[in-house]
Amino acid sequence: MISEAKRYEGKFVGGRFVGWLVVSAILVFLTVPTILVVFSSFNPTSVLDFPPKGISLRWYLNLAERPDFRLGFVNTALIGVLSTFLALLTGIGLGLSIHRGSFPGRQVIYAGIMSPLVLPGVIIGVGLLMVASKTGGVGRFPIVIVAHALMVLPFVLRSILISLENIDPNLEKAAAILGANATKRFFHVTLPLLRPGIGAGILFALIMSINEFTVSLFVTARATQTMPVVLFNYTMAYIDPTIAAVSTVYIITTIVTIWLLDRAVGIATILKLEGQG
Amino acid sequence: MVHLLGLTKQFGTVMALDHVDLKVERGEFFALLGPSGSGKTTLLGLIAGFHEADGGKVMIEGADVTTIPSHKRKIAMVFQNYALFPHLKVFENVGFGLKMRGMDREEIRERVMKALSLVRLEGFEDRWPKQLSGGQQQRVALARALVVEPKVLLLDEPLAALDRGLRDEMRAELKEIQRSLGITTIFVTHDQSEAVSLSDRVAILDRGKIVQVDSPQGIYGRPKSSFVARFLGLHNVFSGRIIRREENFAWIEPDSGGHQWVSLLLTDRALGDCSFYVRPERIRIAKQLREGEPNHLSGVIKEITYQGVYHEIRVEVQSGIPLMIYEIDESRVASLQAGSKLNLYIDPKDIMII
Repeated sequence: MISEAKRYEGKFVGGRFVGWLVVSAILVFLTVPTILVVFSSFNPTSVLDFPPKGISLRWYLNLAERPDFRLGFVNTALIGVLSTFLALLTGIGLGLSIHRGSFPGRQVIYAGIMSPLVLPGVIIGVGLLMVASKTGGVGRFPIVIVAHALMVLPFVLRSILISLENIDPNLEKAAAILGANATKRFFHVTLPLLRPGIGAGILFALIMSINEFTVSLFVTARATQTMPVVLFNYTMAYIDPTIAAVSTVYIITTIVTIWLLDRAVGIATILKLEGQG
Repeated sequence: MVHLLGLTKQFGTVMALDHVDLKVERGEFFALLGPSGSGKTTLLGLIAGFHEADGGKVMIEGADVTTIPSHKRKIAMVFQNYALFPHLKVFENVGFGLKMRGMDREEIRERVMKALSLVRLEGFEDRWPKQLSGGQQQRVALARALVVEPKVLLLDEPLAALDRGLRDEMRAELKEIQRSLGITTIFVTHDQSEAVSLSDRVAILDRGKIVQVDSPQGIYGRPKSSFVARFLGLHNVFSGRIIRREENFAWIEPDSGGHQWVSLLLTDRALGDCSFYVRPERIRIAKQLREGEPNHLSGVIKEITYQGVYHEIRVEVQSGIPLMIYEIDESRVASLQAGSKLNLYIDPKDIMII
């Protein structure tokens, strides 16, 4: 038996080696730019260079001292959290009605919500800017939050819908016949079982919102600028390792976000997109 | 007591239920039996309140509940896949209905424990549903349904997902629990043996209509239509014509030709096309052939199969009709073998016109 297994393994050694090589190459290709950026953020000279000439935190200090970066960081966090929350509420509502309803125009609504995935950000940005100018909200927080919510809604809705499809429809019926009215069914059965979808939705939404640039460029003003916009404006004026420092902060923030979500929901559950059952 | 009056349900152009009338007595164990698409699940769904009826009424204990939503009907149901809440432990699953009714925690605990002991699952209250075997999940589902003391218990194919040995065990247990609680129970099944072994009465459905309501003995002994006979998997159902009546006897000419059969017919029935059913366990093996007398025939044995307890003897009689005989008496079968001749007699009361 053992020799049989070994022979079986042996046949694939060559293929396995090539496989590992390809995977390693891809990993290197993906991570090297990130690693380069992290290293060069500690460069004492004002040139984006590798390898660094020494170790210094001056660009991080620059980052912390410049008010535009500080504001951008706070704005990004605020807008990220609020737009995620807004998209989540909308996504759950829409998800439920699209999943259950058979009302006319359902496909149209779904396609409309999904459109930011295929439309160029410029178009959405210009459109939102026009809406904002009509309503007098140009550059204000509400329009930025709504814009971000629109951009992340497709991801949230997808996660919610997948989660809904994984819920056994008999569970709601079982709850109903056991005496739960629609509200109780939602809070005691549907919502708890939506947890993986909600977790995945939050994760996607936060990452998308934190990184959103094109639309933000159009709808933000100086007071509402998010980090990518601040960064863009900064690079228009200077090229120095400050952007590398910002990138490093971004990378760490993303890792922390994922880690926190893993603690809260469990990444495995999120990625498998299924319930505990 | 559950009373259905002219219950009608349409899905698109499909008539799922067509003016169904049915009365299930208090404490009765009642089976809805039919092939898939016969409307039995729709019927259960209407009693449960999952669908809205297009016509007719559902009455439970004298109250019209046709437009009352599920959660106010005070009934309970065990689903085919059990539908246990995966995010709740066994205790919370069983206590769900009581919690929805706003009962206090002490009483919930007491009742849940009692229900769990009824289904012999003491000590399982802190398990997750996914940690349980199929049979245990089934028991939890049953406990969850019984704990709310429902007016009616609905069971949707309750044993279908279990393997054979477990199914027989659960069947016995289900019957015992139902009897001891005296709870009105309606269950849906496509399995004839499940229906007849569990229930007091059976309704057979075909394309949205109830075609027969009878005791288990009744549906097997007096199938009302050739559909029922075929659905029950009965052997010896033939088509023919009634050509003559004399007092309580009818002469049938089978479509396949050959000699006529005489049947005891106590109801009014016009001459003409009919189906008839010869009960396989009532065909008698005769020593001699009384030529020319009605219902005395001879044939050739095609095959003898032992089925545990009884033998199935496949015989082709002169006219080419294949007859199936169930013979329980070993001594009569011992001398028989395939290919040999056999004389038979069938009493007119054992030939049923349907």
